Amino acid sequence: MLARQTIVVNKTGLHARPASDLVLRAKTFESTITIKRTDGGEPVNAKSLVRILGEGMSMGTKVEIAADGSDEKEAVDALIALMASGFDE
Amino acid sequence: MGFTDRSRAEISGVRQRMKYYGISGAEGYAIAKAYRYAPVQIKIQITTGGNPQEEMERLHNALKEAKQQLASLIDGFSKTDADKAKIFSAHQVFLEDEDLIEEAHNAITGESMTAESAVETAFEMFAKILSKSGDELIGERIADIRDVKNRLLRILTGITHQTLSDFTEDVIVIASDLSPSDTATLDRNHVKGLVTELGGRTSHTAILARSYRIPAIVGCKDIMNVPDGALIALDAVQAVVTVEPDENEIADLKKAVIAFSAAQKSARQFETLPAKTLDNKRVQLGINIGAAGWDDHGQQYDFIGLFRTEFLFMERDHMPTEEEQFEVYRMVLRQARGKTVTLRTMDIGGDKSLPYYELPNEDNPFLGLRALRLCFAQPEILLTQLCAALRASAFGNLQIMFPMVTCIADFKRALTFVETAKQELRERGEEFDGDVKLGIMIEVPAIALMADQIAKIVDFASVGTNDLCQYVCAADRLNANVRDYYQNMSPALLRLLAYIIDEFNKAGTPVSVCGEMGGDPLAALVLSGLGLKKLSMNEADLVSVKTILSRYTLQQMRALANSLLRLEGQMEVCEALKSFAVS
Repeated sequence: MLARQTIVVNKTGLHARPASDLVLRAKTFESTITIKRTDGGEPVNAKSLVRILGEGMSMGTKVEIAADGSDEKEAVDALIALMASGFDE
Repeated sequence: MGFTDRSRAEISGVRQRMKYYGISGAEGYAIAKAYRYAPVQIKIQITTGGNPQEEMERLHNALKEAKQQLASLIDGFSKTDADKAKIFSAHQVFLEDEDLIEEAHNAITGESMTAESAVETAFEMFAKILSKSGDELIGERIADIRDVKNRLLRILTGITHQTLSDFTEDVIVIASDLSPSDTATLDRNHVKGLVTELGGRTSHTAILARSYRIPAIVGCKDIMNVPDGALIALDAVQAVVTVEPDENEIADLKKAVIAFSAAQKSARQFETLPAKTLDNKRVQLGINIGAAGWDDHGQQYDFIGLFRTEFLFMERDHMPTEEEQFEVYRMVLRQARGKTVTLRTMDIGGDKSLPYYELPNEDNPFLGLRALRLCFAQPEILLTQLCAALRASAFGNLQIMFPMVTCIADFKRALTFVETAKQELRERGEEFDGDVKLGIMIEVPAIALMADQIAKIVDFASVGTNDLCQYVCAADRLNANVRDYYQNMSPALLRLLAYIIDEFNKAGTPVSVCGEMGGDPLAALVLSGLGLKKLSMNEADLVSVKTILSRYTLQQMRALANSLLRLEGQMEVCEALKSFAVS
């Protein structure tokens, strides 16, 4: 199990398109992956768009991405990098 | 004895004209027959007693078919309508959502629900979860989820969909609400307007209408009372629908349609073209931003003249770290795609409050320890911001600008901070652009009057006309009592601007205006006439400035500006501008 934290940098937060991008990327990994708000949120399935949208992660929200499985390191690194890139918005 | 109009009307049975009111979703005018769009609402009663194996198969076949439908919609729109393609791509992601599908499975296997009931239960459960999040845009996503749900239900129940794809005459569509699936194949040739009972300015109907440039009214209560085929006049500027308009109303509306369409066409021309005077001289226009991202609506502009960074410091419970600032600055440079971004260091003073830092309590915060002065007193703030900015400079074209510079010594002192930051980054092995241009805001009169000297020292400058005017006229622009004394079109301010622009042009140092004046069309004319070649403004003002600049030659603007400098006061200046504009 591996976890890393990062911040949501997009102006409009983790809304539909960036969240979709995150989900699609997460699905390419075998590990189970969760994302949670560090301000007391529960971890939710990072491969489920509706779960991510339900968390309402706006710009500036600090989140933790955790993965558990054979490709957990690649998964966490890739998703952290994707979030830091601002999804090219 | 005569009859009143009303009794005549009652006798002849003429219907009273009805008007309906709503909110403007997309501006414009239209007149056409109403087409009532009321697709069958699929209401599912949750039923159990299904054969789980059969229902699972039905569910999966429906999912498969829905995916195919979406794939062909996306394919069809991929070249013609990127926004629609994106919406349906997002719908596909919902269709393949692990947790959503798991919910539906559980409903079938655990509670023996029919496939329809399982879909209804699972999707509505998630719609409820989403509605609890505080996100502004969440309404759109909930609508998306329901759109996908309805697609699946139509497949499962075999109920076909009333479409808006094929009309033989012009219509104005009226509906309770419109979803992306409803409008996927909208006949853009014949649909001249949209009116929905529900929705607001950010609902799908409004967004679609604005992107298609079709007038639309949303939130229009009772509009479904209008009979199918009735002639309606749509005024989406005042947000009024008139049923069975009379001859005068029809004539007026037709005129409005023509005028509006001409104005739009003219504005559209300027959106994607660079600013030029009548005699083809280029004027550089930039935009001011105050966040990590911005919507330029596809407009052309030359640079980002002012990147305000205060938002990073405000509405936060801690001082922004170098890392947090760096990520935001890098994002901005990325979005700018090579255009120059002028980052202004923190410009905060005692008129604001920060939860994590006690700002000095002063009687005159605008004349107090603010912006650069505050940074000199608290070096960590400036050093952190500079380190973050320099690191970001490796990712685009960055310039750094210091606010509230009072004297040349201030600028030189700021330069030593930059050197310190660069040295620290070198020691850390961090990359940065060694040639980052450094400049100042000209807003304090003391530095404005030293324009001849400062122009030879800085790489560039931008005039903050709001604060400059405030200090020059000694009037707080936020104080209603002295509003008349804040005179940004007074010969006094214009003379000072003329001096600044002259000296910078002489020295060959770029100078721009980033205050509100830059976005005011008449002021923009005057500033260009004074020799200013760069103006930065809110993105919403680009088109009107481009439009006015295109109407006059540089010579005309020069003559105008020079004549204003000799006038007595702001009132005379405004009158002169008025006569100039009409001639």
